Amino acid sequence: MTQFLNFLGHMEGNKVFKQSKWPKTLIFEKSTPGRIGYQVPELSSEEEKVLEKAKRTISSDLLRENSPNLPEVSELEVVRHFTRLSQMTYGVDSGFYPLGSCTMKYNPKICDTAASMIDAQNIHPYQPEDTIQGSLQIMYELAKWLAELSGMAGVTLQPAAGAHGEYTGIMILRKYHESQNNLAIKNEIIVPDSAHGTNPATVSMCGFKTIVIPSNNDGCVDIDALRSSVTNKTAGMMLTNPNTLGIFEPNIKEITDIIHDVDGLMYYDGANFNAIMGKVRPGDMGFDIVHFNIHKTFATPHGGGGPGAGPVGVVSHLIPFLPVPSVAYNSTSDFYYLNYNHKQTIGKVRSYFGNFSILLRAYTYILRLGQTGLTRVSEMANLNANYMKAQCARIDGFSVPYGENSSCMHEFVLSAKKLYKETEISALDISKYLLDNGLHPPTVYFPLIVPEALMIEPTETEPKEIIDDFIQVIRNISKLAYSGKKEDIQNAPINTSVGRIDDVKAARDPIISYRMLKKQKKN
Amino acid sequence: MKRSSIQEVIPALHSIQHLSHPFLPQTESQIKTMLKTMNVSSIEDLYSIIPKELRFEGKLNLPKTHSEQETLRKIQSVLQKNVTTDDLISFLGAGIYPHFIPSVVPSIVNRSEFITSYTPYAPEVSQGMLQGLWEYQSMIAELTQLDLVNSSMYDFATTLGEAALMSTRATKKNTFLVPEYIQPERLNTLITYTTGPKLKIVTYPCDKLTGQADLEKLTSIIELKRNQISGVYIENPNFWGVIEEEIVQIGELTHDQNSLFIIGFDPISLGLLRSPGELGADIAIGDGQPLGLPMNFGGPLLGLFAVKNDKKLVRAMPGRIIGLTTEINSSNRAFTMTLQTREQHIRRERATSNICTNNALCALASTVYLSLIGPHGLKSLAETSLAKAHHLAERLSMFDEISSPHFTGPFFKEFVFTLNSPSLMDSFTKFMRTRNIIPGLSLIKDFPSLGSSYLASVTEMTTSSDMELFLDTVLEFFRTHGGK
Repeated sequence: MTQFLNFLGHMEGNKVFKQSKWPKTLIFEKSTPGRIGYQVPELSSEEEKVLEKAKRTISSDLLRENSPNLPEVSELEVVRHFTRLSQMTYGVDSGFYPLGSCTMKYNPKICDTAASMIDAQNIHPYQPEDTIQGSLQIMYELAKWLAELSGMAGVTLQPAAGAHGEYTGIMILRKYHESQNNLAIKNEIIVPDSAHGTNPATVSMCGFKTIVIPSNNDGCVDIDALRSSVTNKTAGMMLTNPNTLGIFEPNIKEITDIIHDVDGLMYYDGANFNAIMGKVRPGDMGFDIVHFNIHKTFATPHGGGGPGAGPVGVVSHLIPFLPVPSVAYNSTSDFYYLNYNHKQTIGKVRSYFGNFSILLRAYTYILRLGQTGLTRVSEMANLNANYMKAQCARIDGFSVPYGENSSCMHEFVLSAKKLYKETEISALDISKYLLDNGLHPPTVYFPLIVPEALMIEPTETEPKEIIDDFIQVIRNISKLAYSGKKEDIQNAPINTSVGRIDDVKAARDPIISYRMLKKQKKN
Repeated sequence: MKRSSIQEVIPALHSIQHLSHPFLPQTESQIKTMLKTMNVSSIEDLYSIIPKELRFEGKLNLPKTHSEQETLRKIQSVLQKNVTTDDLISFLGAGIYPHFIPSVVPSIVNRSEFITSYTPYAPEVSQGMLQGLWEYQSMIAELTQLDLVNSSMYDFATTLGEAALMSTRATKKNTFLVPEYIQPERLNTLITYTTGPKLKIVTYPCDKLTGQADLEKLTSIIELKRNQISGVYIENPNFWGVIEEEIVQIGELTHDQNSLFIIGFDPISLGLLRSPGELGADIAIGDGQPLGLPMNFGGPLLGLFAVKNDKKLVRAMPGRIIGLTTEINSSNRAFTMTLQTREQHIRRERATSNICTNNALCALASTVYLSLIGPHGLKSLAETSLAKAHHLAERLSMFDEISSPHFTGPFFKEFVFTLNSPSLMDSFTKFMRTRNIIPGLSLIKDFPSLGSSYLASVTEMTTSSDMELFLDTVLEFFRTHGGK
């Protein structure tokens, strides 16, 4: 009876969660010569004749001798192989996914329905404008909505992902300084030490030097350090607000003033935009360039790594620098068109116009929530995060080093420093034990300024019951660790499709394709 | 009941209706409990840290909340303004191609565990996605005959930018050679990507008759830029559809300079044509869109990035890489992201690229596609496209008013044809449009030297009746527009 009650009470508990453990047979190893998974339509006899003639036009040393070594499997074998792989994959639809800074909220199914419409999919980007009015209207309206949400004057939808948006934004910054004949001097961009790695990496790709400034004791930008780093060489500053600690920079106006005083531009990293919709806008804080992570804030699925979309908004004097084309509308003729006429454009950052099927999902999402709904999204994201923070900070062994006594925004960073020091249970161990409980772990060991960091972002779509379950597992970890019953934690995960993985071996002798595996077996 | 009390009730009901939403689960009483636990009196208090003068107090100019039905109705009504390629006879290609997508592909890719997972930072619960991406890397490695493949990038154009940057990292040289006939989207992206690190882009000419790279002129450019060349780029088949017959020699020339040889490819062509690996490529790049992805108005696509197995090159590679290893405590297979010390989250400003989110789900789609299609299917597809393209080129050549194909070099699934009378181009395009025919991509803007030319693309989706209707319409056009 006790067991039965336990079962009911811990639906997410480790007594229940078991991930599929299918054998890791490669699809190549399932191959049987002669099997096919798809039948290519046959050529007509006339086309057969043309084929022979056409092949003779290509000299034999340019033709492939052996067909590529792809697997030969039947349709069912393909379906079963990949269905099993999906069963060994954990998504938001499987359970709680509080991966900090990744905003793993529910991805509404209606958005997938919209994106799978034939009228959206079977469109070639080079079709005449009169045949793509629907797609252009979606893009035009979405860009307007994003501008409104961020307080920007113009938005490009081209960038393919958040980091690609950063790239686009910093190239706009670069082109702006070039237009002011300042590029020779302005070669430094300021990035806080708590920033995402994509910020400094982007700075380098765009030909600038990263100047790292430390955070102060509150986890915010150290104004004195900022002042002493800012010179006439400062081209701009990249900032996430709320920052990666989930803390809103209270001195944001002072920061933007300091940068603007040396003719620098302020770049807003939109990774944490989910916290502030309808509450405060980057444009009103003094930012000049903003990127959005569509796959975070606007609920488009992350697909195991992508595709995403990273639209970029700018203030009005930077509109001429946006990548081409933009989508424009002629109200007189009620006609949408592609506008290549941006005189100082940075050019193109990718082919065509953007990740349309992702943008269409975001358009659908915004319609579904609407003006009041989006504000409520941010409110509930922050409520959930603050509730979790308040509970987790009280658990023995854990602390919230930054912002313990004030409100966080949509996420917070929990430190297991004390637990690690006193019981040797690390943030990594905790993350593995969470897996055994059917919960995706938070982002661990980031930001780097927090020891044994667990960066937790519950999002607005998780019910209180699930959040409470998570908190309970953290409590259990603390209890187990301090009572010396650490084995379950240290041996975790055991309920997943594999246990802990040998990363060192993976990097020392990389096997990243079947070709390499075959060669290794030969040796 | 008094009138006033009704008014009191209605706004209250309205506000509950107003605040609850299927995506937002917390009930009013749960919200109260949560706030109490935190000793906070209202949600608004959670925003008190934001300076008042910065707060947005207005009303966002955004649409109202739409129900699911309303949303779908609205989207359908907007998208209906599109004309799909199903309702056109389209010979548009030039980088994005309509290929048939077997039903299995969307059925697998839309499985919710795949689609709603993040980058596999927790490998123990992400083995399926990791294995799928490892198999993707493996299949692209088989196609290209190059061992090292990253787990996807955004598109062809950005892989070209990344390849150029990688060539500089690997060789410490800064001049990058590209053919003059490169697809404009790719060239413009390359120019943007090479601006920051100050790479010099030098174009080399092609032979106006064959449509192929001009080996002689390329040789003299290489001679002139000796010791400065980080890489030489070529596409095969090239943007005009022509197969490069001197590609091996160009590769050798490149390697003589200790520069990287980079080949852009169409994955479907590799069922028929010699692979980039065999042709001497150090890096092969392309777009995986033909492998099971809808055209989607140009995105998302799938940047393919394959590299020769070389210790120095692997450390210079951009993008995420999935490795095969074992569990710590057993010899059981396990997959994990590896060689991460190249990447932005570890190496920060010294990373090989800033790429983080990539196009993993598109990579998975192409893996399912290639599993279905198999080695023989890929060959048949390539042959079908070749045969149909040649058939169309030949039929068009029967018109005195058309030069088809424009170039003498052998071609794969695309070819350039030219109207002999330049003044007819506008009316030709318009006439075709009235019949819902798009004869291909007009090249007049990007390649004016080719005259009134179109780049026509043919795949297995082009039916014989489409082709006949197009040819009949061409005949009709010339009859009515001063031809014979």
